[in-house]
Amino acid sequence: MIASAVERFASIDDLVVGHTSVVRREITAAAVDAFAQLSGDVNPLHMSDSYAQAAGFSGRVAHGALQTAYLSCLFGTQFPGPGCFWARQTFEWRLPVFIGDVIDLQATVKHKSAGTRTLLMSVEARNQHGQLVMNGEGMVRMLAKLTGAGEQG
Amino acid sequence: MKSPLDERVQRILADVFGVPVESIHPDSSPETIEGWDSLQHLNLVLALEQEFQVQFTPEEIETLVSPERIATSVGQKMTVMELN
Repeated sequence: MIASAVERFASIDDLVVGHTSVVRREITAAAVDAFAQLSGDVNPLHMSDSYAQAAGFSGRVAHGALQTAYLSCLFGTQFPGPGCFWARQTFEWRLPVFIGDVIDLQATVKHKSAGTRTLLMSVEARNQHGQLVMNGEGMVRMLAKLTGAGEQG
Repeated sequence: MKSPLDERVQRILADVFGVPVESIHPDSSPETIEGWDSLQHLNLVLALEQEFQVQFTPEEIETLVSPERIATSVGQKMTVMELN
């Protein structure tokens, strides 16, 4: 695993302002249930259709933080990928996301600071109707290199 | 007499460190501004780079330890940019 991560080690030199990447995820009941179990957030708004409908929604509302988990996947595995770590993020959840929605999470390099090995990312998520459901700004930092990889198990 | 560049730099420091601009002096430093730690120094560098559309090298970043030194460094970079 370590060797494969080293092979795909992202370099800040390969990234420029305007670079963008998207990850698409369907919001499934299984994912919402799994996130509720993982986080312990079993707010009935997320767990019960009848409760959510009584609150004025069409059905269970997915946890906003589930989207952030998928953003973590985007940063950590694709863009920039291994070699980065997520250091800061702001979010605004603008519309509810429901089970069955398909979300495109997009990150775009807004500012590149080569001297500090830091990228500022604008982030947004849109549903299958093209509606903005979440946006924010993140800070991703790039490691210089991995050391001691050969000694890892 | 403060130049417009000095004023912009002091305003950025005030914003980053969350203090009144009047409390920022040309010789203010990590020793005199509460909260000027390594993380806030990173935030300061990012704010300066975005405001002035410049980039700092790691060596330069270590020297950005007062409004006076920041203004000098930024001024030099802007002069070079204008010449190019």
